[in-house]
Amino acid sequence: MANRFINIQIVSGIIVALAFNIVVMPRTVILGAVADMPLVVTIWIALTSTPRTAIIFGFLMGLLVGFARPAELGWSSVLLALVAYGIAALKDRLVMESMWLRIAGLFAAALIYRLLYFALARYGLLETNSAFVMITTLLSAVYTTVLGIIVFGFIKHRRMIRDLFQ
Amino acid sequence: MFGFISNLLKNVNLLYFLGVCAVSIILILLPLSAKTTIGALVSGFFYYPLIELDHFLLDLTATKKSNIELNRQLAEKAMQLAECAEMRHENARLRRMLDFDIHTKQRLVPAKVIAARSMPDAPALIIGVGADKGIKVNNPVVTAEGIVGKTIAVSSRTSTVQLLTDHNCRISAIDQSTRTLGIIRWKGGKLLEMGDVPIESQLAVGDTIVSSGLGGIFPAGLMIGTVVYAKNRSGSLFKDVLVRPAVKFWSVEEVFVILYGK
Repeated sequence: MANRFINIQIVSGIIVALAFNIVVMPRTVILGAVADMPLVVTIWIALTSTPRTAIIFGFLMGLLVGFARPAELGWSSVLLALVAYGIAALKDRLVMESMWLRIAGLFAAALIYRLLYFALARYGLLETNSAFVMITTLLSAVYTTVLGIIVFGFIKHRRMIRDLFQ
Repeated sequence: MFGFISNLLKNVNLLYFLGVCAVSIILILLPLSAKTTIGALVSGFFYYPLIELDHFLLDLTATKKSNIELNRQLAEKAMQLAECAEMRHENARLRRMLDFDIHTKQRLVPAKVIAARSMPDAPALIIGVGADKGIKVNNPVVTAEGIVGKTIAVSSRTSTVQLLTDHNCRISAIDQSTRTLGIIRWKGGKLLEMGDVPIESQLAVGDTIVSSGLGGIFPAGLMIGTVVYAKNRSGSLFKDVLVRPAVKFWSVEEVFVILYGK
């Protein structure tokens, strides 16, 4: 039963992240900063499931993101798998039960993810010409964190929200 | 070394991560053309509904913008159309009046109706010509359709026109076909009454009534209206005759004032 729930969570997470990435993200760019929904969903999965599930989820999510941007194929999956593994491993040691800790973890992960991404681009490993702008990276990390707060809050209070509409 | 590998093998999560890294490295090492082909194939399958949704939303936004623009243009064209219709009507009226002006022998002064007095018993029009154009009291006021009334007050630039539908207005009239004389007056309602028509007269419904020229104000032959009711009254020497006026008094916009002498 628990496995089935995790599977449902993974599938719905992938669908929501992809839909957001394709439909919403291009329309919600603020000062060059973009929110990274696949990263938010990966972190949520890492925080709520086992490290193994988190790694697989991060890898699959990265793979799907990579298919949309072929130049990053492979890199996005390894980066997301790394972030997922890191969060999942730290979760048990730091006891990340508090929402604030989770949000801090999300911000750190978003920042590290963006920095790694730009580091790869800088050394010509991504085969793309992404200019590194610190302020945009910071803004993107903040934007992703805000999106994460909304998503985490929604998931945490989903029953209450559902009751509101009934 | 053996201990390290043994510990590594015990950490299943790390093994999973290393496996994932190995697959990722294989993908990274693929040439860009192969990555693009795989990406296109898989995206076409996974992203198709989302890309369609994205296109739909783009179309929706474009449609909304174009709808706003089209609505603005429609409102603009509707206003232009209304303006054109108004000009067309005005043109038709002026053409009729011009035609009337050419064929009449009197000296006519064209005038715009600038106001209407809507007292029930004494309706009147105010026209935008006065003494400065030679207008005097008791000048007949007409349109191409027929008699409107006569001037009863004249100022330097405006004149007040007493309509046929005023209780105090009387016109000597004649039936064009039977040459029967009578007096036109208004007794309420939409019709005029033609009084003093003897019962022997052959005046009938459909006959045209024009001014007789008697009375000294209205020249002879100006259209007044058409007979719509003509019956003998029992015990009376006169017929009951009702006439529908040729002029629609409530929609007059331009008139001519007839001045005596060309």
